[in-house]
Amino acid sequence: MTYTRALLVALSVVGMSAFVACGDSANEYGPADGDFSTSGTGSGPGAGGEGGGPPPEEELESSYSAPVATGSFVWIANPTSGRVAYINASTLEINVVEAGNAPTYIAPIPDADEDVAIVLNVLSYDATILRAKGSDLTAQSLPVPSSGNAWAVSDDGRWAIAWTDSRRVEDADPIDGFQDITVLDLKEGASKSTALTVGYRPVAVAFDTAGTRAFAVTQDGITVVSLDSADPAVSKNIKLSDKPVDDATTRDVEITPDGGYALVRREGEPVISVFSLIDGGRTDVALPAPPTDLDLSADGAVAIAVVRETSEVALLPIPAIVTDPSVFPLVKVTDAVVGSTSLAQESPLAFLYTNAVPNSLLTVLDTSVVAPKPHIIQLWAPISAVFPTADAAHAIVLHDTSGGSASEYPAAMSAVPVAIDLPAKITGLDAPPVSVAIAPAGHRALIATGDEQSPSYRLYVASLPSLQIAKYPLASQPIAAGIVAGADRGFVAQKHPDGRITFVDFKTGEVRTLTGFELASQVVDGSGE
Amino acid sequence: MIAARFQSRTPALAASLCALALGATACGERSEVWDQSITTAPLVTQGLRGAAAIVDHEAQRALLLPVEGDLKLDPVSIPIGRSFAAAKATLDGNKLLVLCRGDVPRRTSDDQEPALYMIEGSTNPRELGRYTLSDPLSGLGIDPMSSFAVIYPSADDTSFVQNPNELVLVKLDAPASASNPVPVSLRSFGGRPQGFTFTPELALPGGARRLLVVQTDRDVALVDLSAPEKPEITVKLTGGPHALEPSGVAVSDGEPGASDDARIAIRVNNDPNVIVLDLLPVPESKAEESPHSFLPVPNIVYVGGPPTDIAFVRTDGGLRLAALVPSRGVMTLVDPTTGIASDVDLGAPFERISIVTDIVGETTDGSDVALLWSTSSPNVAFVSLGVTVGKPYKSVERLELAEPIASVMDVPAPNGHLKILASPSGGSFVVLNLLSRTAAPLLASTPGARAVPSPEGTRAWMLAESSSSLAQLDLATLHPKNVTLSYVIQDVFDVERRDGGRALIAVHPVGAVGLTVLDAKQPSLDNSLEYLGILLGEF
Repeated sequence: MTYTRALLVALSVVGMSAFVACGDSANEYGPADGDFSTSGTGSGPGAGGEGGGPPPEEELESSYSAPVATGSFVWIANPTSGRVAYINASTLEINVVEAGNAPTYIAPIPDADEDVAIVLNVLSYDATILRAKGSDLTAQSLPVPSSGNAWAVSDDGRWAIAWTDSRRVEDADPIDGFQDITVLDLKEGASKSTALTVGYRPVAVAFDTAGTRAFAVTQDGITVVSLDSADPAVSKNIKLSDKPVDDATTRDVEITPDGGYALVRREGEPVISVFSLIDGGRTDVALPAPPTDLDLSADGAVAIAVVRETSEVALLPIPAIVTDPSVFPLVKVTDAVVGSTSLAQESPLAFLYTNAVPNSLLTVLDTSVVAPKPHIIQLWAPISAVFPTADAAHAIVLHDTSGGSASEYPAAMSAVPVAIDLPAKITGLDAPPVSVAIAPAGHRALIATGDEQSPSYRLYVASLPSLQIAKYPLASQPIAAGIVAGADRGFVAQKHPDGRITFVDFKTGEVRTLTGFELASQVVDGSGE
Repeated sequence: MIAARFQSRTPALAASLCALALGATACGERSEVWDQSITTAPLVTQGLRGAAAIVDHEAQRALLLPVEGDLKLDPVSIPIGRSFAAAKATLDGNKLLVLCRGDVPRRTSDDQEPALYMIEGSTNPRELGRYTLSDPLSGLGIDPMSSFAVIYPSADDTSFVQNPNELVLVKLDAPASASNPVPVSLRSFGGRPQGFTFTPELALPGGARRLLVVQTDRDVALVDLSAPEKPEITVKLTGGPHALEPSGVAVSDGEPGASDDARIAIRVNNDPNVIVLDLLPVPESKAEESPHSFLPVPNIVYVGGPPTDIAFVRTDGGLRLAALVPSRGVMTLVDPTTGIASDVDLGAPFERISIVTDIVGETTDGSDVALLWSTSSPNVAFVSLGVTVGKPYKSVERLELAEPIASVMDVPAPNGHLKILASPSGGSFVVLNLLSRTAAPLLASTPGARAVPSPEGTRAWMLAESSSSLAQLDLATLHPKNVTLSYVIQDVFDVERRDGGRALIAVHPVGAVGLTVLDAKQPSLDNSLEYLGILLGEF
């Protein structure tokens, strides 16, 4: 499938690149609502997959990651030079700061007053915390004995955990468990580093919203890290399976924002398991057929399990489902096939679709009502991924045109009005999309397209609610798109040996490309002489 | 032919005139100049608007040679300093600048200081000024707009200790004063100046001004010519293991009325990238501490191969950087704002570009027209820029020639639409008409010939250094009129006469220098004057 290739390219680029090594700034670094998901590799049998039925649903949204941006800055690490470039997205001024040895993986740190980022220096086994305020920047170093290739950051910016995602390690030896993590307390004036050990091969790390516990989802279960004692410590490990040889790679794990529960979906099993992260208690919720996707609402009040085989959606109330696992709304979606869901960050609306079979119908469900009525939106090409705006007033839908379509476009996108019942607008793309970013205000969406197989490098900017789509050529292969909300600009980082990023001003539409971040730092104008 | 002979100041050179020379000083002390030898290797000559000039450095003088209406010379000897270093005429021919190092080493206060001498190049030559310098330097560069000169250390300078990044900037429009010349000490990151480019006036943040772009072997420095005392801005091109050596510069002022879109493009030796400096306002965060109102923001644009020449061009899509990439046979057009590149397939390698829009007129959409030529393939091409369906240009019109082109000479008005193209062998020329797009060949029987367009643009002079033959080429009819003089010709200068007519001064590198003066409009041996031993007179 076209998007499978795009996914692999995007994953490998995001994983290996020096520029946006940590990928999606929301899901990967620690989501705003504390929710995160990790799905299997897709290798396990899906609902009906072994019997020649449709293949498993693909979680493509996480592939379209955004580069590292804070309120007004874009941060880009250069492992070769040992420096981090930070670009003021308002003025496009580029500055460079020395980090450690091979700064590679960078993540934004939430902070109310400053622009803060943290970069993992993989060869010097430390991390540099960079704090920018106005024209001033400070850098602080903390040891990271575990090294790693990913970050998880708590919502309040107090904690950061460096860990290793084995999926980003090429040809990882099975003996390599990547079980070492480093917990960094970023509290100003009292920062410290703590090395800990978690289960075999973590696939995700997250925090509860209170910042008192962290959770590492591993193949041994969920390792719980206590953060409210003098020093961070591993407090327990909660096994997610009764079977000693359970295939952990086919699990889909969701943790509620308050850290109270973990919900587990296993490929091919008609059940959702709910684990208490306090006492490890398990509750199994039986479903009419194996669910093909599982997500949590932004507030963690509802888990949405999609059952493609019966075209039903189970809305599991949290925590009531633990008390009575047989009581939950099961919504039947007629006239449309649903197998996947995408949820808006600040809305109870769930977007349902399938990308396992060609399907042009998008279903919208309000998960906040007891008996929601599905609203079906007709689109004009098979859906491959859905990206709702934070308020769910609109959604950007990516289409796969490769399935026998007569279209000459290798891909397409639709801008879909949701809050108002208006027709969606479909636009052909010149190449497969590799990254999507939605402005937090919901007024713009960026779609970057083009890869090594389809070198039509483009940036599409969707204006919402007008549904106008502007197309800009890019000078080189896009890596990831992102939004700098404080500057009202979007950007696309691109492959270039000297670093390249294209900014688009949302107010004026002006596009400007900066190439050569290191060179920009080598202008000496006599300041201070 | 009328022959006029001057006395020789070196007995060995003209023993027969020795007695005459001695007689001239018999009544008193003989001037030191008569003990000086005559050095004519190399013979330093310059053509000015109203005179030819010979630098007689052993005699510490510049001999200016204005011409009367009857073709007689009225030589004027203007003193210069000791240790001659360099002489150049301004592009308009109005001034001759002579750089002298003075007494080196300077041991006492009475020893002569190094200085730049400025001489008027009219039909009545005189010294216009003298700019004393603090250090004896030998490199001299001149602003094409004749407002500035830059003096810099050259490889010939051998002071005990020398800073190769110390420059001296001379404001030629202002008299010498405590603030003129201006010493400029470039901050160095290991490089030394290799080339200078004076920009035209650029609309920059903080006001219009001109810049001096100094290329070193590893970086580029920008000197604000409106305030040269301010520290220069250095753009270091070499940060990693790979040394980037700038090899060429192109400048754009951007859109009229805009002060934030001027750009300087820097070509880099053997590198497929061009570095474009956007001259933007200094960010607020640096405004207080920066001495400048603008800041160059570098951008790297990839042009697909090492470019041999670059230029900014206007297209209907906006400003583009045009880079000739002969290894791919293309001209790459890059949008400096987005870095998007598109190729114009030229079908042959071209190395040099010249924008000829002012001559041929812009295209219907206001786009530029570029003339391309090649030192390796026998072609010239006209590229009309502007987007048409599926390609980033309107047309590429190629003319095949007999030989590749080694050099292109501009012809002044009223024949600015003509270019004289010279082959590498110097055996053939082409007069290229930019308007009719025709190429008229001219053949020289003597190899190593060269063409010299006259300042008034109606004719060109063809000569060869090893030959005494000379030809006047009428640029209206392309009719060559051949004249053979008595001696081999080193240079010719088409100058204004005192009666308003034109004279041609042919310089012969024989003995104490010979000259032949002809009527430039009607060259004929019937009314020419021949002078020998020209350096023996006018003391």
